[in-house]
Amino acid sequence: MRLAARYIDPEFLQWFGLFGAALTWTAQFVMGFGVTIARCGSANAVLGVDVKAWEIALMTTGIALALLAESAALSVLWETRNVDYGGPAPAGRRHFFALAAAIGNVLFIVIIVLSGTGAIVHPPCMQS
Amino acid sequence: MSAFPHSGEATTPAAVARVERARLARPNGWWGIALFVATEATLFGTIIGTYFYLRFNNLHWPPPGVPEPKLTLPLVLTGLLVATSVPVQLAVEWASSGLLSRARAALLLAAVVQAGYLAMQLHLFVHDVHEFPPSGSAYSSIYFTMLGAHHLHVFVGILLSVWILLRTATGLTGYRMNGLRATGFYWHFVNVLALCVVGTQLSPLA
Repeated sequence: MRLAARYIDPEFLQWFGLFGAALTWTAQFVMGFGVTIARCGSANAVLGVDVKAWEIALMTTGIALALLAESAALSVLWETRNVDYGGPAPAGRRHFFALAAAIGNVLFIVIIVLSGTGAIVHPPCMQS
Repeated sequence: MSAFPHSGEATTPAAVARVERARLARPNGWWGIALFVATEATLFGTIIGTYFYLRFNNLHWPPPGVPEPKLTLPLVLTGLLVATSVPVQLAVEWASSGLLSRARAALLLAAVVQAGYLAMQLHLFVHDVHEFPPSGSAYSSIYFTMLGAHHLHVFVGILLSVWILLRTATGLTGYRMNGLRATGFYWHFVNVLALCVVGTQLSPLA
């Protein structure tokens, strides 16, 4: 973690930590929706979309990216551990965002796993 | 701490360079263009989403009678447009270092290439409209909506570049530096859009 903070711009680590997992889940959701539309549309006769393979790929990539975002948040949190979250910018601001990101990213990792699992288990092209 | 408490008080290239070196956060103009870019990204997200929604619900894409998109020319033109991100970013860096003449030359070079790109794309656009009009099918309708929206964004970017070139003809100020930075941000976004649009346009060939 200290290595990451030493070689990567702390501003980038802060923003990636804050938004990385959220954007990853958004991408997983939107692309998963597109895959389902492709599978259930008339063009599937030509395209032959495999929903399960796509959803597994999207979920594993999503988990990996969200874990990276969590690592970025934790590295910023560690580097700014001696600063109060209400302290002067930029360190105080970074500490505040890293704290919020470290907690929020756990939720997004759970969302990515649950929505991916649901999409894999649920048969496509039928109402529940 | 800068000698200029407000960036608007910097009215020479050297003063702008001092302000830029002392800057702790991005200017409000940068955040303004970031919000604008976010709304534009949403617009193109819906357009590209619509394209693929229609594509997945049609067995033949493009429909019979409509030619498949050409591969080489759109790729070459997009490559040229994306390459202009380099002179645009150099213009921003040089201006923030107080090197105004170099910055204006880089911006002018980028604007000329971008104008050439737009002229060529408009020529192709008009040719395609005559070949398969937008009212002919769902494919042609979303095809021209997507390309037309992108060409419009390139046109707006050229207007912004020309505006910055004209404004900086009488010198560089903190305000104009913010304008140049915002224009640079917008161009990078338009170039990323160009990659998404050309990828979507050529997707039937995959």
